[in-house]
Amino acid sequence: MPQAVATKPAAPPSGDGIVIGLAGQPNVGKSTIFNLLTGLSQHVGNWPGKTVERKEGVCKRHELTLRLVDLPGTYSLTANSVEERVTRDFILDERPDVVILVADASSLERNLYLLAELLILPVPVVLGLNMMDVAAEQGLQIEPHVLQAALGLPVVPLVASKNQGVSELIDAAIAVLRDPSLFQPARPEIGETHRPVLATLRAWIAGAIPPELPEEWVALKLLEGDDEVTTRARGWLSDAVWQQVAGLLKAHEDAILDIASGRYEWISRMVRAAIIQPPLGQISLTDRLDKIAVHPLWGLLLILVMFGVVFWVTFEVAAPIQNWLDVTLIERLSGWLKSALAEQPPWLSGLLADGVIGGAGLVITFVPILLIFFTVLGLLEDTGYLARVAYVMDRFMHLLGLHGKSFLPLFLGFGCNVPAVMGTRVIESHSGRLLTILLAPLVPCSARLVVLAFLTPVFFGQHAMFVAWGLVLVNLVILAIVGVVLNRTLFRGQHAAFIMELPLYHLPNARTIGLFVWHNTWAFLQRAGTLILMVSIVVWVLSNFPTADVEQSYLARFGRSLTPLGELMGMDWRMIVALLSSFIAKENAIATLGILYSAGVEGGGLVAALARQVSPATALAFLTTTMLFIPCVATVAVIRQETGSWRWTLFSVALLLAIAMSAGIVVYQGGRWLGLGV
Amino acid sequence: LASASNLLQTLLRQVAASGTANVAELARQLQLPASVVQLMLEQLLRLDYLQLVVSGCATACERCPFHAACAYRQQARIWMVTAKGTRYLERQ
Repeated sequence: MPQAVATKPAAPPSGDGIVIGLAGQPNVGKSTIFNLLTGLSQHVGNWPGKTVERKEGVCKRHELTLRLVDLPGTYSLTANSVEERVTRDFILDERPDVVILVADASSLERNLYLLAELLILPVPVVLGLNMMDVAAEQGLQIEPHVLQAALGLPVVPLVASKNQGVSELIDAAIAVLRDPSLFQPARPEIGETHRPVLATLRAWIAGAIPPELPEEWVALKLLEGDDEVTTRARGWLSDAVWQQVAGLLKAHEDAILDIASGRYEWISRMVRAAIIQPPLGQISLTDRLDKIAVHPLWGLLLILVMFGVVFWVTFEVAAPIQNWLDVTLIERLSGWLKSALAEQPPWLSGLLADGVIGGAGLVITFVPILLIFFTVLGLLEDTGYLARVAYVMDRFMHLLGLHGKSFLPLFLGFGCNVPAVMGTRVIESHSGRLLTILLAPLVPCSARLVVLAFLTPVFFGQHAMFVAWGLVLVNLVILAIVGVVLNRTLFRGQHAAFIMELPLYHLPNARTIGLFVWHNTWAFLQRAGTLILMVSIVVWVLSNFPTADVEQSYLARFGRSLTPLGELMGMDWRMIVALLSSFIAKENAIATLGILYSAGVEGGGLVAALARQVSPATALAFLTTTMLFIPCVATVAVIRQETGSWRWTLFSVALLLAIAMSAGIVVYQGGRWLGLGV
Repeated sequence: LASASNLLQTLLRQVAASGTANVAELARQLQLPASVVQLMLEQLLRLDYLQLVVSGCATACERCPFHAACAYRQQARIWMVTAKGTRYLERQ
């Protein structure tokens, strides 16, 4: 049953009292049409009791004088805003002879919803399809005559900005006035479930509502839950009838879904009828690419390939530059400082040359790695691909039984674990939030990825890309396993559903990527100049006192106390200390290695020193442990802040320590078994 | 095409059932133009059956010391079913 109400009988098309309302959404070109049709005859005032501007004008056409009223731009007629109320009150109270709905042809669906609401009001409607040129540029091919046949009302294509089709539009409105049979609209229907309810409501309110309001429309608005109509109906109806109506509405409070569904089904039919070809170009390209990028299996494989590409580009382009800087700049600067400070106390030249330059200075040589790494990541994000990564990973996590909403903060963890932990605030449930906080440090943050990008070529040369790629994969697999275990033991699994609007793929913007790279590199340099410099100095001091022999230093004594654990992972005390120093900031691991492994070694820089002294099995165990180790102190502090509990904070630290050490032991012992221990 | 009487209900059910979905995929499942599904999602949002999960770190980032250096600015809009939406589906 169509939601039909009787329209006003057509006015005689000869008098001066013909009123035409010009309706439409904001920014569809309504005012342009109004100006073209009325010229200088405009009158501007306010709608009674409202601050909304009312524009009226006169248009003379075919010896007729038409009074045009430019209605406020509205997206619907649900009385949610003053503009919507003004528009529908005008149609209901002033009963124009015809309403011209101006629609944006390039966004037809949105405009058709407004038309669906207009068609249940008692007024004939003419549809003006403006911006046909914009629609054509977007690859949309609209057939107005097909849409006209499907809608059952006049449809006029136009380009108002070029004054094309505007005369035809006003002629179509006059034609409807002269021949009402041109307006035989196919109105949206509501579902069968609520048709009897609508009929009952209509019967109950019959005769009680103001005569100017159509009963069908009032009943429909009551069923939709329209606040204004419901409030007014309370006054129109007797208490007894109102109690009945209120009871019925309460029992059908979700009827709006049924009513709106009818409108969307109607819109879909119209769009299918009128748009003869799907959108071309960018949208279809996005669809084609997404067939792979968001596919459950191919999408996952593509992510792994992309990670591989990021590392490959980083290693191929940036690592040789970093190595050159290390050997030439750092070593030369260090040598020059030692010469320049030859007359000074030995501790001063040692502190500056080996501590500051060999530690924090070495970290500065990462800059080429950072520039390349963040440029590639920036490119992936700005093209819209990283949103696909989030989508695929979320679905992957669901398969593993993890909390769906966890993916948002976990995804942020690739940048930094601090916002990842803070980002868990989007999760309402306490247990879901806690679980995500515990998992967040297992996401390899950019600092860890930079350490990985620096050390894997040092240890593994041409195989670095595969090692780095594998270590990231190991992190994610361990994250998934820990998530599943915690979800099934400490926390009860919760299921949250998501819909994601994936952005269109587009060409990256150089300025956006430049800013992205700059922010990240600058933040890194700030850390290098503060935290990393401070730790470098402390590490040098502790490794050079009480004697200059590093093996007899305080740091060596402390590191050796942890040797039993280190031996299981193939690490000597220097690597254990480097690992511990990463608690302050992840990059400290490299600064510490630089100070401790370069001590007493001449030539070749840290790369040569490490390559000579560390076996592949140990290197692999060190990298694995670093990737899974407790996060930096800033993240631990935020975990305490967000959980509000020292117990959970310590549990998180203990859990990560246990995971990192276990993984390190397994990797080293496995590496030895494979003959990589030499 | 899904039944006219319950398109929004069907969409809500698809969202709740699929765990994670994207608009294009839902449109294929419902055999509707993606642009119409987009409108339906917005309507469900207005009616409080869905809520927009504001881009990941939007609230947390305000106080985050690493905000400027954050590597992952969310581009995608994400919705989830609300308690009202869940109650509605349970009643059906």
